[in-house]
Amino acid sequence: MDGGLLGGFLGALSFTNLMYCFIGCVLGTFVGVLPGLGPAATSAILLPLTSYMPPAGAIIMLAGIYYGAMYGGSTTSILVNVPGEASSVPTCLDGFQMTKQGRAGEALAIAAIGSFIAGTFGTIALSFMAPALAGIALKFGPPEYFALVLFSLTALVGFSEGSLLKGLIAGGIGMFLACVGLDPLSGKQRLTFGSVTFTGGMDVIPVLMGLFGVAEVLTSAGEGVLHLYKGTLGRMIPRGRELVKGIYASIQGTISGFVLGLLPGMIPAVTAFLAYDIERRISKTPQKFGTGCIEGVAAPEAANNSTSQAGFIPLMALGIPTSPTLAVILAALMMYGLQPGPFLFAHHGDFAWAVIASMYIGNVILLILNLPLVGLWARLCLVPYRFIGPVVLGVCLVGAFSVRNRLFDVIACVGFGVLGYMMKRRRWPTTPLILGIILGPMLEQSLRQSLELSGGTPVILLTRPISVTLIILTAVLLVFIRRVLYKPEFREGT
Amino acid sequence: MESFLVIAVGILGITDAWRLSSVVRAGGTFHDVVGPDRYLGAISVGLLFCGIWTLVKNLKSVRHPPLRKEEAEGNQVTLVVLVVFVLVLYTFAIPTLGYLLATSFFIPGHLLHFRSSTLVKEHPRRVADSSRVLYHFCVLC
Repeated sequence: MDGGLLGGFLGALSFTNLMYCFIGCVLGTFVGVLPGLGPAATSAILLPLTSYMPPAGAIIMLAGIYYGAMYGGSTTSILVNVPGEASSVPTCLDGFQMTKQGRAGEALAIAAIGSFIAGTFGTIALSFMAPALAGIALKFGPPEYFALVLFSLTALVGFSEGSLLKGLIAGGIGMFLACVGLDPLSGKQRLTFGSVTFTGGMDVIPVLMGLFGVAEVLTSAGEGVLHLYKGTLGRMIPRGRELVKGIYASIQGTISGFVLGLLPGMIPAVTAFLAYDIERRISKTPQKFGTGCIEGVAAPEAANNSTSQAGFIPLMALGIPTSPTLAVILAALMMYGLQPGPFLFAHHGDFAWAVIASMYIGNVILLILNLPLVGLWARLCLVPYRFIGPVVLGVCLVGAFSVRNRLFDVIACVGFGVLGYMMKRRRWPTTPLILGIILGPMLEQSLRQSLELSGGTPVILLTRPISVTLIILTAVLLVFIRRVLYKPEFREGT
Repeated sequence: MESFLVIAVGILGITDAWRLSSVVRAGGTFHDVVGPDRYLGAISVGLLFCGIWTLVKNLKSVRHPPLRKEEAEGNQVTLVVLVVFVLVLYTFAIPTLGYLLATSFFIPGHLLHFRSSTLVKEHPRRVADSSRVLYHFCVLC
């Protein structure tokens, strides 16, 4: 492993990859600061452009955007009381209170320090766990992949916002849309209605750009200009007991965010809230939360960063994305012909280790970017959306066209943009839809291959140990989701 | 309304699964237990079931009179309609005018449109009426 990681550092420290890492971190912080534009939308928008980049550089940049956004999201939460990202919503609760008390500098610093601790821990864990899990995945066959995808889809539907029924429907529609085109195993046309246009199916890139890029612009179009807090930042680094409390809360947030982040569906927005709640429950002064408590800033910020790093473990080792942004990165990997899973480390070890090594470097870059330059980032959120929106729309449409040079993809991008906008307004989750489109074909293929192996009987799913374990976990998860997550008192608490 | 859409999608899927089944399994030589037809059929049946369940839930729930919409929300809906209209125009302009020309009109035009959002906020009724006229014009076309 050491040789692999050292080789990864050699690759990551090349000028080209360093440059892509820096660009990713800057872009990530930028989109994290700007409300209305998230890492998923930005990654989807840049996806067609990455086809002109070397694979390692492209993934390094996209990864930098993802974890960089976690750093940037805290800036507007603390200074303007508007979360730059959904994962920074809990940071508003105490962060803005600290700003009103003249302690904005301490809040920003502990957010950056907590994010750095979590990001570094997450990357170290990724370095050890991803290759180990990839080794286990070598024993996976079609039944195991079917059970794993079923577990992932169940978790993603269950943990998504809104009701379970809406999540199920969104996931079902995603899987339905994935059926459009030619059946991969038999070559029969499905849902094409005799049209040649539909024979090519739905490409995932225009769908992602529509659902994230166009929908985000439509949602943000009516928002007004923010007003920046003009008071002093105060001391830049917390001291004494405040620093110790902040670091302890960061460690708690790191551990809870990391463990939960391994599960599909546990996106940074969810784990940040959970970490805030856990910190409040274990605190000796829970009544102080919401009044400017430093732990209330450190815990969620650490959790969202460690979750973002933890998500790379199932992605790289098993090919299962646990969040929409990772789904975009998976699409990028597939675009380059790099199938994530057990063979990624075996056949493309240089690439995998370079990406992991770049995360160590990226975390240092982000710490440097976020602490001294916080004033500059805060001013970015004052840019009126009327300048950003049209550019994003233009890039989305051109990007959608560039995938297959077909107008159908542009129409699909616009159509999914409108669909995504309507879903946001009606509070329908979009994550299950995206992951239904991406994971649906994997589910179908593995199920059909499993039944082919067993001669048509589904007993094969229950006779293989890994497969039956995952199916039992899926059943337990369903019970947990129904009994615990959908209780009114739990939903009020989160 | 979402329930009806989901039910419609479910029915569409079931119809195509039925067609596929008659095509694929006619000769008796197709041995895939699930096949492209049954997989699609299963998803479609699930969607149909969920759509009916949602419809029944909505019918059973107590209906409150709709809240009076804020003017800002009405403005946003109008803005969105206008943005979508411009996007559709741009999409169809690309093959007709060519990429360069279409984009040269699109980006500045969109910048102006967003700037005129103050016009939307100050004169929402006028803009809403214009949007309605535009919509009917498109339907006629």
